[in-house]
Amino acid sequence: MIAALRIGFPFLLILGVLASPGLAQERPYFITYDHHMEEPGNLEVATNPVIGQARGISTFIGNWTEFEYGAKGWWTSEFYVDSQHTLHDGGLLTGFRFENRFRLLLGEHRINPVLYVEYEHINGADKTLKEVVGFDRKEGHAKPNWETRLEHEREFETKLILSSQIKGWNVSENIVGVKNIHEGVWEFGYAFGFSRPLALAASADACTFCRENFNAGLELYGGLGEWGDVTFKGTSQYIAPVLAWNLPSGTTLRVSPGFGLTDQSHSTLIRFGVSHEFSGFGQQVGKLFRRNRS
Amino acid sequence: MRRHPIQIIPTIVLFVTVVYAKSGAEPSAENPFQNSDSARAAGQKLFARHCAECHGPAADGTERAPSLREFVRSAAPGVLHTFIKNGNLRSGMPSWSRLPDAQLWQLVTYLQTLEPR
Repeated sequence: MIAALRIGFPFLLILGVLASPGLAQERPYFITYDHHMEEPGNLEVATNPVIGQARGISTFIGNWTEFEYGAKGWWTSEFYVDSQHTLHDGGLLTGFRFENRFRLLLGEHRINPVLYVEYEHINGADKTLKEVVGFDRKEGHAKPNWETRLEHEREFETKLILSSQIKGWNVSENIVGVKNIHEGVWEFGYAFGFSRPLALAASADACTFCRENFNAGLELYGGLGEWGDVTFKGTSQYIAPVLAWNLPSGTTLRVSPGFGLTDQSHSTLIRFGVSHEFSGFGQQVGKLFRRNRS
Repeated sequence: MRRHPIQIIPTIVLFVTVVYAKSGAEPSAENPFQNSDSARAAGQKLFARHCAECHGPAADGTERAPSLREFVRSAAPGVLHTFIKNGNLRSGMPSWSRLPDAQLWQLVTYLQTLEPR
């Protein structure tokens, strides 16, 4: 965790100099993706710690720090750095992920499909629980870090994201497929979420605590078994209310207490998120390079 | 107590599907906030928050996006609403469907009060 902060803090300082804060309306979900892309040229930086608890397992904090860039109106690119700290065990960086999302239909439709493609290089000590697939279970987090850090996973992950806006509600479904590049079979999972701002119309006054700045919803996610054995049985499943608060400064705060629904799940997963959007980041970086050339 | 907790998932999915199926019609082309001063003020706030970074604080345009002052006066409210909602992803204008229809109409109300320069 401290290592992640050492890397992240100077980077955030550079961002602060390069770009001004942007003011987007962020989704409240932690796991589920919707069809809304990052605005072109903007960069969002976020950190998302999760506290996990289950009987017989040391309490841990997993964290992913993400850098989300709007490459085009229809294409968003994201880089994640994962880390964790386990009580009575210690902490470490656990790997990285690189993903791209592509909107398949350019206009707004009743259902908007998005293709998600990710490469991840993480080790077995990863405890972000960013996606729950296959027969993932809490016992996988019981081993000590010195042992699990030696298990290296290079995985290819795809998601089909289906998302709709209906009378102020967002309803999103994600179907997840993960394949270890070197071995194993495809593992499957899902995420489903719906959310809505607490007020649909904006108030006329500038305000921090207006209802339209809050977005509340619910997420469901879990494993669906693997190739040849697609099932709910023996999988981890979670239900998690979500709440996001979009501050006028461009920062979004999120919280989500999650609860395990099966014996294979952690009993509670409490997620927090802080994100900040930097407007015009791409243009500012482009200017720097043009200046250096001339 | 935790005997069949997984049963909650199909129940919630069914509920959302029913809500989804019952929803539906496209929003009207009429601006429900036409000439409303409070909607104009709310629209101005939304513009500053979501649009000004590209189109400029006075909608005069920047190097990232053009001026809106000529276009918005002549466009029908429904056309403007649809354009903001869909964006033009090829040209870099993002879709603002993440904003509820009421907020899009408040934006339209504000934009249509801008004078051409």
